[in-house]
Formats: sequence, structure tokens, C-alpha cells
Amino acid sequence: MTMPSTWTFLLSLFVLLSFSLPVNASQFFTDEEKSQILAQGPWPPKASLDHTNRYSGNSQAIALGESLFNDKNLSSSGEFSCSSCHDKNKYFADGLKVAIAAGKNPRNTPSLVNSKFQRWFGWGGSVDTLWGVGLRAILNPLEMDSSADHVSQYISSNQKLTQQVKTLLPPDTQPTTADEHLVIIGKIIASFIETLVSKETPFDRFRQAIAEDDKDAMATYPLAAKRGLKFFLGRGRCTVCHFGPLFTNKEFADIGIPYFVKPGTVDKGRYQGIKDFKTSSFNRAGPYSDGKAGAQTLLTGRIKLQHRNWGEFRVPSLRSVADTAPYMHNGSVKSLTEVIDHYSELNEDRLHTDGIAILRSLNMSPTEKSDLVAFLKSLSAENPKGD
Amino acid sequence: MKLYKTTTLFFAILLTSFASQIAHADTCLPLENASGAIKNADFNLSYKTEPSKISVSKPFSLHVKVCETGQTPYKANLKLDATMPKHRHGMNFTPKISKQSSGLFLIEGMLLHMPGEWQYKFDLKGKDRKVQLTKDFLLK
Repeated sequence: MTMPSTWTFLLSLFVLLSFSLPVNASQFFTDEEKSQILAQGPWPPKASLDHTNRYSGNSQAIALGESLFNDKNLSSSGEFSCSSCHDKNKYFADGLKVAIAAGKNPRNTPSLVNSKFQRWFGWGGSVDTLWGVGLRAILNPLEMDSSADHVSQYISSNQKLTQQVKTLLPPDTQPTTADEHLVIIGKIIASFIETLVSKETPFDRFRQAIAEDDKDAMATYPLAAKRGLKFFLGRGRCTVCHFGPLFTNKEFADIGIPYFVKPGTVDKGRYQGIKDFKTSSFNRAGPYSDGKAGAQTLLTGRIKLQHRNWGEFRVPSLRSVADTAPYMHNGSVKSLTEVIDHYSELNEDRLHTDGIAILRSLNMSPTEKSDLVAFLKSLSAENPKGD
Repeated sequence: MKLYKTTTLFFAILLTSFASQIAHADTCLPLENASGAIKNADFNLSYKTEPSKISVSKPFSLHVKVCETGQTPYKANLKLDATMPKHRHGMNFTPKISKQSSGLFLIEGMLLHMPGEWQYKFDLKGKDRKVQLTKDFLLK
């Protein structure tokens, strides 16, 4: 063996060893990074009942809500239920680019899992209650295309359903209008949706290991996921928006995805969402809310409509992100790899910014990309149904 | 004569006590255990957050006490915004500001939706001009 080939051999050995030796996570992450990791949990976060919905946490309502969630008779044609687009076998989404029910919706169907932890609902945040967003889908001509009269008549014509709903109402009361009947059904369905919470993930166990300084448990988290997490916190600066246990700040952002639905038609995103929210009856502070007090109601009621809201869409949760392709508000990005390509080769000219850009083209290497995918996959439970 | 002196003394004590109470009521002191304070030549502003530790994208309130020079409570209106100066954007919400008592304000509906460098901007009405007091802080 000549001298150069000896050096080449030693160098190759060093590179090989540096990738194969177990990495001490305690040293792999700085104290600052560990503190950032801790802020992404614990999971699930504490959540109180939804005091705007009198059926929140009511086991009878939850059982009836699940049945109504799957009931196609709530739609005008009898062809669509909530589960037509929020399929439990597809992580309560539909796996399609955009939702197709009574019509073709310009937006992608978001998963309903963990939605109880959100502040706003829908890609534009046009509602601040879980029951309100369900009602919006029931009434939307492109979704279930129903009406308060249709829902009220259906419930009233079905003796069993009428009795089941009646047992949930306060004694000696009954809905006096079709709108009231509709809202009761929306709230009962929402009580079921609240129960859809994702399971513990490999990332959550790693985070817990850091919290407890358990080096053996830290070592079980794959090295590629560790590197991806380091990128996510550091150079990627992903936690600017994907912050906290839900991996979202629950607000809205423009990430340069085109918002033209077709030539001449624009999806205004958050801008239209705020306008719709301000005129909706299904709000926390609205006439059908069962509890209007509280910091959350005060907060959402004081939302500002700003020019920058044009083209902003909800920052999605990254929990179980690997299970909810395709991505973005219009479903235009097919895979996680393509999402990462989008951020890596971001066209900064498309973004609205007055100051230092929050998003920058990341120019990632192939290894950085595959590490980030490994990390994002670790945000899914190995056995999502927990059985 | 003795009665006159006693009465005078009594009234003197009463007056002193009354005057001291008035002075005490008007004395404007910063909030105890304040989370932050800003001083300039005209104002001394202190604030306390509720909860004491604020978190990214979670609602919180601010108790604000404003004293003018000479320790008199500030009586005019107060405005507050929080911005990220480097990104040139502010909050997504307009906070609700209520005057509680002399110099004391309650600000509800605050929410900082990103980690990073933020700045409180308090707008006050000075003697002959508007005054803005700012405080930079890092939210993690």
C-alpha cells in the first residue's frame, strides 16, 4: 500500500466511523437546542373542555357525534357525510389534491386529528370554533351542500335520532328554529372530533429522554432524525412558525405558494378568512356560543385585518405530517420531499416582506434533505390507532 | 386656654394626617415585582405580565403603571403595540386597554405569535407632544 492510498484508507475509515458510531445526544445538541426541543412538547398538551360547546366531553354526545359524522343524510343529496372527506383510514383527511364532494373545492382537505388544540379553523381561519367549521362544511355548496331546514327536517323525521338529541338537551327544552337545530347537530359532531388526538411519537419519547437526561433512551432515536431535528431548529429556523407541541404557532403565513385558483380567480386566504370570521354567527362570541367569556374569545374577537393577510394560509401542524400528503392549501405539493425542495429552492421574490425575510432559500444538500424527512417522519406514531 | 391648645393640636394632627393621606394617594410608585420598566425624563412606566412567564402564541395580559415626573399618576390614555422590528410586523390582534385607576392600566388580548426579538411600544400623551416608550425583549 502506497502512502497516498494509506491516507485515503484512513480518511475513509474515519468518515465511516463518524457516521456509524453512536452519537451522544446529550452532546449532539447544545443547551439552547435542548431548551428548544423541550418547548416542542409535552404531548398531548393539557386542554380544557370547549366551553362554547355544551356537549364538549359528554360521552353520550361523542357517541352520537361519531354516528352523525358518518351520516350521509345530512347532505342535501344524501351522498356525502363528514367522513367522505375526513376518512378515518386516511388520518381523517382524503389524500386528494383538493376536496371533491358536492363540488370541487379549491382547497386541500386538512386532517381533523388534533384540531381541538387549534385557535382557528380552515385554511383561511374563517371560524374560531370547532363546531362552527363543521357547520360551514355542512352548508358549503361545494362540500355537503345542505341547509338548516334540511338538517332539521332529517333529524325530526327520524324518531331514534330525535330521541337521542332530546336526551342531550336541558329538560323541557327543544330547538325552536331550524338554525338552532343545525347548531346542536354541529356541536354534537364537534364533541366527537375533539376526541381525535394523535398518539405519542418517537420524537415525543426523545424529548422526554432529554427532559429526564436519560442517555439510553436518547440513543434509541435515529441519528438521521437527530440531524434533521438539529437542522429544523437551527439553519432551517422552522420553529419560527412550527413552534410548540402541535408544531404550529396556530397562525398564518405566506410561504410563496401561488394563490391563483384559475386565471382571474384568487384565493385570498387569511384576508378573506378574517372578513368571513367577522360576519359569522358560529363564533365563540356569537349568538349560538354556550360560553362567551374567556381570554380566547377576547383574543379572536380582536383580530386585525391587515394587507399582509393576502396570500397567507394557516400554518399546519406537523404532527403526523408524513401521513397527510398532499400538502399546502391547494394540495399542489405531492410529497414531503417536494415540500422540502420548495423551502430549499424558495423563490424569495414571491414573498411579501417589508423587513428581514422570515423565509429564505435554504439551499439544502441531499443529506440535509433526507435527514429532515427522517425527522418529520418521527412526528408520526408507529401505530396511530394505538391498537 | 388649655382647651384651645388641645383643640388646635387635635386639628393640626388631623390636618397632617389628612394631608399625608392625600399625598400618599397621589404618590405614584412603580408596580411591585414588575416584569419590566422604562424611564425617561417625563415618565416612569412599569409593567407586569400575567402569567408571569409569557410563551409563544399563548394569550397573556399586561398590568401597566405609568407615573409622571414628580411621582404623580399619568391620567391620559395609553396605547400599546408589540412588534418584531427586524421583520417589520406586529401582532395579529388589537389588545383591549382599560384604565383601572390612577396611572394603572390593564391590557388584555396580547399574543406574540413567533419566537424572536420583540419590542413593546407604549404611546403616551406628554405635556406638549406624543411620547413613545419602547422596550426590546427576546421571546423563546
